[in-house]
Amino acid sequence: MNQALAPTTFVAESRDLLREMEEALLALADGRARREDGVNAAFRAMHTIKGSAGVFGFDTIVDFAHAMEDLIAQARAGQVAIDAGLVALLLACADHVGRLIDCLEHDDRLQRLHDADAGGDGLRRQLASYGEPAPATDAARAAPPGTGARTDCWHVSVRFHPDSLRHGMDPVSILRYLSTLGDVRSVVPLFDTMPAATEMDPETCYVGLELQLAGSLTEQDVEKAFEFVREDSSVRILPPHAPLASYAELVACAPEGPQLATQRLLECGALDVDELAALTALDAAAPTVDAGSSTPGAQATETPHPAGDGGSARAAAGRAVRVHAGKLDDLIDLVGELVIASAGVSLCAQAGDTELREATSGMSRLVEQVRDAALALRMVPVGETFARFRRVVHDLGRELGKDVDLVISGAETELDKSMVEKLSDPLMHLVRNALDHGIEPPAQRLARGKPARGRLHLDAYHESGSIVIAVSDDGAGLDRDRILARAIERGHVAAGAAPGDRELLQLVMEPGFSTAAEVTSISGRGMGMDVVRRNLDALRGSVTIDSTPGQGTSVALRAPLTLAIIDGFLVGVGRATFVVPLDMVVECLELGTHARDGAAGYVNLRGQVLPLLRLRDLFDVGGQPARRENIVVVQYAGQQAGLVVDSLMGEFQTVIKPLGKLFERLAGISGSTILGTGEVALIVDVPGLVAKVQQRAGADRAASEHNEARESEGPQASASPLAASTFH
Amino acid sequence: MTIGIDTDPSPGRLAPQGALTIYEAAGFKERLLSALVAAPCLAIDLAGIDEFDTAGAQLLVLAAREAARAGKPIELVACSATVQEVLQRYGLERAFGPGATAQARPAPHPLPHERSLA
Repeated sequence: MNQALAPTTFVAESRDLLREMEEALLALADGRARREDGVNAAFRAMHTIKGSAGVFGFDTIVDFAHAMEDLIAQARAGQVAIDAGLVALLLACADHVGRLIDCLEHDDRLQRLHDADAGGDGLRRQLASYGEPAPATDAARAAPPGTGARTDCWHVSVRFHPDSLRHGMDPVSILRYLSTLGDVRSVVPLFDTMPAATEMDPETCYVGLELQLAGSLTEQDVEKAFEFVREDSSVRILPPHAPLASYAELVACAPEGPQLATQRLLECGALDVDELAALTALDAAAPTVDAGSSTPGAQATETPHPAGDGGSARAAAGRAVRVHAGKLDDLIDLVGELVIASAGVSLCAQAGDTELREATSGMSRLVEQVRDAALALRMVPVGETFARFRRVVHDLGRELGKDVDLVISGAETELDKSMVEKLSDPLMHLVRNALDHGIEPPAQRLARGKPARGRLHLDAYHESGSIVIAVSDDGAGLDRDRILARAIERGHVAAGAAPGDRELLQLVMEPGFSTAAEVTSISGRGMGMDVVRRNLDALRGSVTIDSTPGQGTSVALRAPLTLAIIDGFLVGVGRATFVVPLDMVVECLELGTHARDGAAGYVNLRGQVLPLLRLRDLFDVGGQPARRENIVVVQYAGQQAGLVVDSLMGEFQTVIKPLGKLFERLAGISGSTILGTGEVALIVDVPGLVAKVQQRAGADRAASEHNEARESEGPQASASPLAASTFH
Repeated sequence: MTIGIDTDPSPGRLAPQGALTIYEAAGFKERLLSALVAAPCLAIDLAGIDEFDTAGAQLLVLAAREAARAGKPIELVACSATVQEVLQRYGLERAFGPGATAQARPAPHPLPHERSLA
């Protein structure tokens, strides 16, 4: 094998498999999936990794994977209980395999593998000693010496998976292979699962076998013969002179029932009549099968079979293609330029004849579709990120001694791939906060009349051009009084002031702000929430906190859906052109002349107060306002504002061009774009403006209340409460 | 894939030719069952089979079972070497009547099974 070439595909695929395995085990631990499904998925993953590693000759990985396989196989066979302890061990082992895989990315991989291997010693010991050891390796099991079967043959009991023939695995080829390994002394075929003629499917495999194989072989030799069916079919191998107890177990687990099973053992010569009698006496010694775990035969009769679902899921995954992220970015850039060029062409075509206009209209439509398709390439479902948190919640929960149920909704909500990385750190912090400080220990929860199991909810949905990711818990909530006290202490709030709940909670995100009495290794230093807010700011997003003391807290992260291309609404102010993100535009109205003369920056919109913002004043655009001005009503995060502009110029799709370092921090502007004419238009930062407007409205309200209070005390001169919008 | 043509179309006798594998299984199942329904007893002649697999063997098992259910005798009167090898590997060589490995007989006559497959 050419080891100078980095096995990149193997590394990438193995990582995917390890992730699948982790998800399956966590689902099993949470009770969200059946035990058989979880264990089968784990087995499949390790089996595939082992096989591929073997092709490359990475024996370290092969051996460790094999050890894991053995334990998982025991779990599938019911010899080992499928419980939290097993899940924890398998997760730890999967991590170790992940570390081994990481070694492969370096040139000195063999050396690294060798070094990393030592780290797995402890795990290997645990794998080997977990539950009962395999019959082949430990002859002196529960049964006292002298009760081994007389047969000098290996006994194999197989129940083939119904799809074996469809997958091209004909049991006859295995029988042929076995006869090259040794001497197949006897075979008893069984067709118990074959239904009556009308239901019998000629392509389904109903075969089971009890066979005796003689020869000087190791267990691995025999296992190898069943390598390709081991995954889905049930295979049990007993060595020569195996203790009667293991035959008893075989009989106990047989799907056809103990009577038929013992008859067949007799028929193929595995046991003679005396041994059979002794077998029934050993009934009590046979290990009990965990009621929740699968019995081998049950797999054969269940439909649909768990592995079948995994197989189809894999088939679906196989239709995906790996694309280098850089290529996607290049494509998006090109599409962006195409959009601009197409807009230019459309503009020129307006002056042309009908045919030209029609042709360019058709072209614009196509360009739009290409744009959407290109952007869709970069969209990934947020569920992939959410799924990673199952492991975090599982491990942290164990560490903190808290029982937490992680509920995920909106997993199929999509967002731009570049945003995923930027959002996962803030999310991680929020989840850890919720687990550490939000959700109380079980005892405390019970005392408060809550269920002992805490609930952490990760939700994602689209809302007017943004993606919203909410992390909610049903824990203790934020203590308003403590936050107020801390805020006064740190000077964020003047003593005696009474800020509203929302503003108070926003203070939690000030750097260094923490009301935690205890600083743990996980959180509490107050270093987290401000980083979260900064990360979201960098994405042109926002963070909102809602909390009810005693009931829980909910933190919502908002971010724009896409950073690259925008559907915009063009407006004109004087000779300048601005773009308002179309997703945030609610409606447009005319600004009546009478309203213009009023001093207040408000308008009555169907009974609601709509704060106004004049873009002309805001951006200091020269010249006189138009005779008829218009209002573009925009909305963000449930709050509305009206932007006063001169003219409305319609919808316009365009590529966002970054402003460059010098202009990055401009308030009110979030980017720029190039119009079809070649002019530059600035993109209005709607979220920022809406926030400012609301702030001003809040200040106005406070000031007018203050004035009313003073007026009621007596006529006094009071300063005009004009709060000019300040932009600095 | 060969569509078997009965060389001897007398009732109660099936003699497929060519391949009898998973690809032919569905079709052969139909013929088997109709033959069982139509005739008082059934003889299956597999001397002309050159490809045989587990799917084929399963159909023989099905046939034996259905025949027993209907109370009709069934016999595997001849086997090609290919069929023989597969049946032997499965330990089924004596399952379909003692004439299984003998020469083809001119007419079927019922013989008891040696091993119950019900």
